[in-house]
Amino acid sequence: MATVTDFLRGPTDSQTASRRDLGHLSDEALLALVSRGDHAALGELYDRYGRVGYGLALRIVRDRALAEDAVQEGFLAVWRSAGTFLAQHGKPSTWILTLIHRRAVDLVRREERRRADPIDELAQPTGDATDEEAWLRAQRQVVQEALRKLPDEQREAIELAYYGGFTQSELAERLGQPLGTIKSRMFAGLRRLRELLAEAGLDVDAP
Amino acid sequence: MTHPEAAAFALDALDTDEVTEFERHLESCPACEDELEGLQVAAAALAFVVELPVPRPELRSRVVDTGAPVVALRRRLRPRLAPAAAALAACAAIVLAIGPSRDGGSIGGMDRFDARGSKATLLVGEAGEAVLVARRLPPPPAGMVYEVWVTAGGGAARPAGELHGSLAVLTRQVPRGATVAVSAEPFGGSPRPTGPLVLQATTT
Repeated sequence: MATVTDFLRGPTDSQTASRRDLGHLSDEALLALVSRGDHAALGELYDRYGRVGYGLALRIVRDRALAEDAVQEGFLAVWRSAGTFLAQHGKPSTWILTLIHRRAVDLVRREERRRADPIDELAQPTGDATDEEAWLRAQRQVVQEALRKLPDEQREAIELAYYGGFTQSELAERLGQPLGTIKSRMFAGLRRLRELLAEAGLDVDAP
Repeated sequence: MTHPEAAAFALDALDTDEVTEFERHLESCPACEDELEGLQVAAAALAFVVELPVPRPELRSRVVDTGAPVVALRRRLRPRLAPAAAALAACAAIVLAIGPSRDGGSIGGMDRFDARGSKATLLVGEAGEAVLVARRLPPPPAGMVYEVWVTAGGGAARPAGELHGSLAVLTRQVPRGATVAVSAEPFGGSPRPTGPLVLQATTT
């Protein structure tokens, strides 16, 4: 296990070695190490989900510095609450991305920076795909396909809420629909999405 | 019957009051709790659809440092007196009391350990008595204090006093190889660290 001193030395041979070792651990095992104050394990979790979290935060806040803040604050919450989370038996990747999402939404609401045009861009392939890992590409494909199967109004409500950072009341106003309608769209859509993802055998954990 | 807000909660589409209300409901509703887990998995899957630009490499160190901005305390080999004096200006009275020394890594007979970037200095005497100077820490959150911890010989972290300003006179000895850490704790201190570590240093 990497010691504080190993960590401080930066990417030395010993740290590279310890990273390689951690690569075999499950997300849960890494969280257990994080809950005991292991920085290398936090780094490994960042290596697995930091890029997705950053892309997500950037999508929401549209500002590099704010997106970095959201990722940092999200991982700070991981660091602080890893032990508590483990006791609840959830899925680590979901939890980490949820924390980052929440921070990004908080930031965008505070900054009033939010933009309302997420829908068209969503289905676009992402920039330079060559440097992405295969598992990320595979994940994206599955989720995109599932999203496409949702009725338009459900997909719209979900996307505006998740990527736009809008509250349900704001959505109701924006879309000119009763709040109850927005709630049911999000609920039905997200539930259906869950089913579609399960059918596709999606596993949002890094391999 | 699942609460209609569960999906909005999973999507972070509730305002602050609605979140509070839903969380209160969640405590007494196992059905919602079960349903929510699946909804959150679906919501988090949406993260994989966004563009994935490569974050700056600095973000990784920010994240890893986040947990505890760990600083290395190193035995000071060739101190330059002027910067050393400037660095300790925050606790001038103590410097005077201890008395600066020209002798390599010690001040007033105490071994001196410095962090790179002058974030912290630890002075340790022969019997393990120690003084910690932690610079550039933000003030503790309201109602909190910075408590100092000493971990030695693989044991648990033991309380060793509080930082007053940037200074703590440790109430516990610091044997060679021990780790000294600082965390924010509720006013009055805690028997063991509960807050995140804001500083952690080994004396190797």
